[in-house]
Amino acid sequence: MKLQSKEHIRFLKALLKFDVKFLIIGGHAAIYHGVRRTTSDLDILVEPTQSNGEKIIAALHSLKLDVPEISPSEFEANLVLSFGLEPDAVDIINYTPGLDFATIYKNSMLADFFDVHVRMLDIRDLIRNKELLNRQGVRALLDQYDIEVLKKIIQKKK
Amino acid sequence: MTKVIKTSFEEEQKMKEEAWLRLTPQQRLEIAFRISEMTRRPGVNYSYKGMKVKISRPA
Repeated sequence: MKLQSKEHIRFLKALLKFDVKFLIIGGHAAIYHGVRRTTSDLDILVEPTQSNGEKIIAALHSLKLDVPEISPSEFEANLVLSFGLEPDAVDIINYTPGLDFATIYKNSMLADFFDVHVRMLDIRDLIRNKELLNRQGVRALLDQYDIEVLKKIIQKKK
Repeated sequence: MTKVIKTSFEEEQKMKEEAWLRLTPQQRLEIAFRISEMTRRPGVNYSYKGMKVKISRPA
C-alpha cells in the first residue's frame, strides 16, 4: 500500500522506536471505527509520565523537529504539543476529559495503520471522550455527528 | 451502460453508510488519507525537518 502521509508514518515509527506509550484518538480513531468523514491532523494521546516525556522528546529530536526547551517532568502536567502543516499536522496531548490513560490503554486495540502497528482508542472510550470534550462551534457539531454514528455502529454490532 | 436508479437523498446516504461500514478499518483509513492528500498545495514543504513544535500548557 502506498503511504499517503509519509510524515505521519515517520512520526509514528519514531514513537515506536523510542518505545513511547501512546494511543491514536480523534478523527483517525473515528474513521477507523466507521465514521464516514475525513480529518486534517493526527491526534495522539500519550501517557502523562516523566519517563514517557523523555522518550517523546527523543522521538521528536530524531525527526529533526525544532523542539523548544521542555523538561520531561512537564509531561506529568497538562500539555499539548503541535507541529506540521495540514494534512500532516500532529497534536500530541497528555490529557483528555474524563478518560484515565491506564484504563483506556488497557481497553485499546492494536491496529494496522498503513503497516505500522499502533494502539487505537476503543469505540466506547471514543464516544465518552467526544461527549466530555464540550467543544464549541463547528467542532461541537462534528463531535455530535461522531457520537451519533459511533452509537449506531455499536447498536448494529449487538 | 450505467443504470440510473430512482432514489432519495436519505436512501443514498444510507447506502453510502452501509458500503463504508463494509470496508475494513484499514480501507477506511486509506480512503480518508487519499481525500486529505487532495488538500496538499503544490510547492509547499510539508517536511517536519526544522519545523517548530508549539507547546501549550493548559491550566
